[in-house]
Amino acid sequence: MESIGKVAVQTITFLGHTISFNPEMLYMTWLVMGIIIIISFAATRRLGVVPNKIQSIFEIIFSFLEEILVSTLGKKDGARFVPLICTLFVFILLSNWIGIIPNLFGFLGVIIALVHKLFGGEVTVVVQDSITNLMITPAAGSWYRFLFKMPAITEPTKYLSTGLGLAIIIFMVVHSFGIRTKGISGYFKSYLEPLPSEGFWLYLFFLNPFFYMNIISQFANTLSHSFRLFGNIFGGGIIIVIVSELLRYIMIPVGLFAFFGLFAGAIQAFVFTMLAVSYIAQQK
Amino acid sequence: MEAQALQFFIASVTAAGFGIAIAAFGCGIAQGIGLKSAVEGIARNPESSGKVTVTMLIGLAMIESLCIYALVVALILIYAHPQATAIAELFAKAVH
Repeated sequence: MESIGKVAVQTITFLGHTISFNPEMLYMTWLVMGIIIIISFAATRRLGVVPNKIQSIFEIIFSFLEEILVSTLGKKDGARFVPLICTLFVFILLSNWIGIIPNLFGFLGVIIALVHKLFGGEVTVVVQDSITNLMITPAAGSWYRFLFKMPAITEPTKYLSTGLGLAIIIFMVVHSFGIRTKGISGYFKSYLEPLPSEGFWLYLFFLNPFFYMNIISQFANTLSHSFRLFGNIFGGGIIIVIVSELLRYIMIPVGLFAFFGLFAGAIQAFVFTMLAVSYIAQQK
Repeated sequence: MEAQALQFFIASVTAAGFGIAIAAFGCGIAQGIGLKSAVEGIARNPESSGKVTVTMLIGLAMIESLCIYALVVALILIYAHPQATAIAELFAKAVH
C-alpha cells in the first residue's frame, strides 16, 4: 500500500555524469526479454509442417498480425514490418501478463524457511499483528537467503519509461518510413495536408496553420501512445493493490487479476500494436 | 499553517476525484455509443465482424485514452505534484 506512488531509483556515475535509472523496470525488462528469447528458441528449434503446441501459438500470432499488416500496408511494405510489429506485440503482451505472478521468490523463500524451521533451523519468526503477517528472517549463512532480496515481479509497462521508449521507437520508424516512401520534399509537403501543396500555397509554408497543427499532432500521437499503455497498466495495478489490501485476511482478488492482468493486458498490447500499424499506414 | 497545507492536499485530492468522475462519465457515454453502433453493424452483416471488431477496439482505446489523461493528471496531483516541495517550503517559512 505504501509503495503505490513510489519509484525505485538507482544512480550510477559514468565518466563524470550521473545517470539515474529505475532498477526494477530494468530487471523486469531483461526478464521478459529472456523469457521471449527462450520461448522463441523452443518454438523454432524443431519446425514441422504439423506444428507442435508452442509453434502453433506463434503461428497464430504471426499470421493474424501479418494479415492485418498486409491488408493495411500492401504486400511489399506489410511484409517488411512484420518482424517489428510481432516483436512489439509479444513483448508488450508478456510484459503485461508477467505482473499476475505474485512475489514468487519471496513466497518460495518463506516456504523454504518454514520447512527449515520445522527441521530445527535457525530461523526467527515474528508474528506482527496476525498469523498472515509474519516477519521471517533466516540465519545469515543460509543458502536461500538471496530469495528474500529478489525484487518482486512487476510489469515493466507499469512505468512510463517503457511505454515512452517503445512509442519513440515507433515515432522514428513512422517518420523514416514517411521520408522513404514520399521523399524528403514530399514528406515536408505532407505537413500542409488539408491545403494543396503546390504553387501559391507552397509560399505560405510557415504561415500555414495546418503546418503547426500537423507537427503538434505528431508529438501528441507519441505522447498519447505511451500514456495509454502506462495509464491502463498502472491504474489496473493500483486497483489490484488497494483491493488486495482491503481483502488481505480473506482472499486474493483472482477476478481482478484475471481482468486487469490478462484481459486488459492483452487488449492494451493489441491496441498499442494496432495504433503503431495505423501510424505507419498514415505515412503511406 | 498545517491547516493550510492540509487544505492544499484536500483540494488536490478533491480535484483528482472529481476529474476522474467527470472524465469517466463522458468516456462511458462515448464508448456506449460506439459499442452500440458496432454491435448493430455486426448484427446486420455478420461476415464483417472481424474488421468491425478490430476497428471498434482501436476506437474504444482512443476514447479511453481521454479518461487515461484524466487518470494521469489525478495521479500527478496526488503523488507527484510538481510544486509540492515549493508549497511545503512556503508553508514552513510562514510558520517562522
